[in-house]
Amino acid sequence: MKLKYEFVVMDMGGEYSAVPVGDDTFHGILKLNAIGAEILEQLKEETTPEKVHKYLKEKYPESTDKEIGENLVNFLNYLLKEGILVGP
Amino acid sequence: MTFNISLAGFVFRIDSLYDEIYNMCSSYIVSSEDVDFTIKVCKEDIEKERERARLQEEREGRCHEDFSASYLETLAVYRRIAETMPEHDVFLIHGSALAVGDSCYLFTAPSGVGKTTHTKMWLENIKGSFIVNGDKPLIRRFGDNFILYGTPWAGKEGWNRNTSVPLKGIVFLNRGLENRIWRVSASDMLPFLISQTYRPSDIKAQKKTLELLQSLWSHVPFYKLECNMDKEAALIAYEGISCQSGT
Repeated sequence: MKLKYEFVVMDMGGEYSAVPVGDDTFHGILKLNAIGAEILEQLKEETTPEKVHKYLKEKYPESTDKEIGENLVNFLNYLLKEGILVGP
Repeated sequence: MTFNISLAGFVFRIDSLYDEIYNMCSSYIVSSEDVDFTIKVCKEDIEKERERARLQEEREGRCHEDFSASYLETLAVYRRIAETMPEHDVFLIHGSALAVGDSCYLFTAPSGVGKTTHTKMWLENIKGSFIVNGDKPLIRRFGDNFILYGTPWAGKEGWNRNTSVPLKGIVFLNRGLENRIWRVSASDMLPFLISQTYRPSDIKAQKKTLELLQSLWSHVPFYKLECNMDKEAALIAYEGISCQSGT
């Protein structure tokens, strides 16, 4: 899986907005928290949910597998629904 | 014909096919030979502008208008300029720029909300106010400061002045029953701000434009103005901005 567009993540004072770049049409923006911005960063290159989960587990060792898994699945499903995420 | 104009502190040599662009830019012509950029458009660029105009008419459900090649050339020239400028810390934004003294305020809104009407209200009711550009000004970053420049590309009314004024606020205009103005966060207004900013075709220039917008947010306050068509709207807007920005 990989992002359909390249995104520029803008830090608007602790709130993050991801803006797609690459073609001449503005597709809207994604509003994210800090973890969402990190997941998006991981999705710039071809990866798998398991790899992203492992990355987040290492980054946030205090969180349980279940917490990370649920948040990750919700976010990935959102990206899939919006047509932003492509691939297997 | 070939002539030089000064825009946002840079000198452009324009090599045009028609006279319209020369006449439109007459207040911006300079004799300087130190040219920063040369802009030359061809008939193919003009036909691309014709196609863009047709697609926009379709999107907006407007009747077809047969634009002259000389008018389309003016659009093609500005597009070339807007594509080039982000690399030099300059970007094009859609809005009406008004100034009072050494403070400039940019009013931006979707078409039909009343930018032109509100602009006229300022001119009639705010002493010393003047228009820098009524439609497509350029904004240039100098460190932490942003300067707004008049350009000849100024919409149907053609309101523009060949001058530059420090930008002290961006105002998002909405219609309302009453008049009120307040500060807003950048993240709330970002989608609209991006939609009103020229989007270069080159990805590097797109990224630079976003960097400039992020910097703009850090240094220039954003406001939301709800207003009706009474003259009080201009007074409340000006007092609100002056009070909050300390100008």
